[in-house]
Amino acid sequence: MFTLNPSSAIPIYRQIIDQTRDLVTGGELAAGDKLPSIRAIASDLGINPMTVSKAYSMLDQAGIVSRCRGVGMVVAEGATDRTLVTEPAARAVVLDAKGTGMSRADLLAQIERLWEET
Amino acid sequence: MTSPPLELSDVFVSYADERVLAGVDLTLESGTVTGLLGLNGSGKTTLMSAALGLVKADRGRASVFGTAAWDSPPSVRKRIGFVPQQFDGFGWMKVGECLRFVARHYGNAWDDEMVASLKDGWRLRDRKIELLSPGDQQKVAILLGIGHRPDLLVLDEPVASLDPAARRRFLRTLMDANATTGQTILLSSHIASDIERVCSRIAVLHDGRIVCTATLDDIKERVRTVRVARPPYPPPERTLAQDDGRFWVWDPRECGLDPAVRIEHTTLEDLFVAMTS
Repeated sequence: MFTLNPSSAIPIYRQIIDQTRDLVTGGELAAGDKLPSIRAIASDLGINPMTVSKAYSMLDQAGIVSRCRGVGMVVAEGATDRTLVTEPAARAVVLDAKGTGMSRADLLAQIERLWEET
Repeated sequence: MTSPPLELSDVFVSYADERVLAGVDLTLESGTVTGLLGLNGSGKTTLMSAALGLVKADRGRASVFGTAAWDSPPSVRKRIGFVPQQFDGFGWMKVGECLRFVARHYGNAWDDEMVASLKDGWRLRDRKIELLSPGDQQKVAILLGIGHRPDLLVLDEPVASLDPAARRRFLRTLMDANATTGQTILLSSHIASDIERVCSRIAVLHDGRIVCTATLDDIKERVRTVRVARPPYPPPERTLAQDDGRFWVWDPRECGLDPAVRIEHTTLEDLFVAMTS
């Protein structure tokens, strides 16, 4: 289900989050679909189970998946929110802006300008 | 509060005149997987030997599960597993014979199913151990070290001579065991991508000390490479490493850096090379 690149500058938990989000927004996973268990992912991919658990907790917080008693992790109702599509790119832009010391106002102004231009 | 599975505090070890460890501090929290990085000859094997009670610290304290590593009782030693870099025992025995021999010492703790599944997956033949290739000998060492599902598992370059398929199979088994039993693992490897795959923390050993411990996620999310145009530039605060005109820093925006400098994401390999050069 996931294709991970451990050497990437993007942490593995973030790769799992982004790919789950892509599967949901792309319609390959629908609300109520069951996700593999933490142990299954950790042993299939040979990655640290704590990394998978961290990704699932954050997906849970973001309302993309939810814990279902007796079943495990399932895709949450209403997980196809439009903002999920732009979230990864938006996050990268915010990190870049912060990294270069750009102000919040300058970044928002830039987005406004691009919105008008495109 | 239970004692951490492994705790090294200000550990010094010398061989003859050569000081190998010069004040090592390292604590492994229960259930964590830590990658130990260091150049060849930096003392990774010595650090592991001190932690396992195979060499005695000249100074400082090495403890496992709260008891001194050097004279820990058998009840504690049973909870430890070690996979050495070079396996040189039981050469006259056949693989199956050797596994049965070691399994008997551990009784019920021995996980026959896990050992058999890894051994069959690797297609390890039942030959005399001394006649096996170095890669196959390493596989035997791994099976002997992990078969009793130790609470603390120390692996010294366990995958160095395994082919990629065997390596992947081993890492999968290791992570499956970690997910079910929550064992604490210390692993050294030269293959950065293996460390990045399975470890949640890294510890860098250099000049006889641990110069950095951090979670991998923190390193990837917060450490940045900063290039400055005109050295000498005053080194930024919280510099992890530097190398002509480049600095590796935590959170560049908290270091009071000139925003005009170039900031790049960093890889574990680059950071490691910079810290140990």
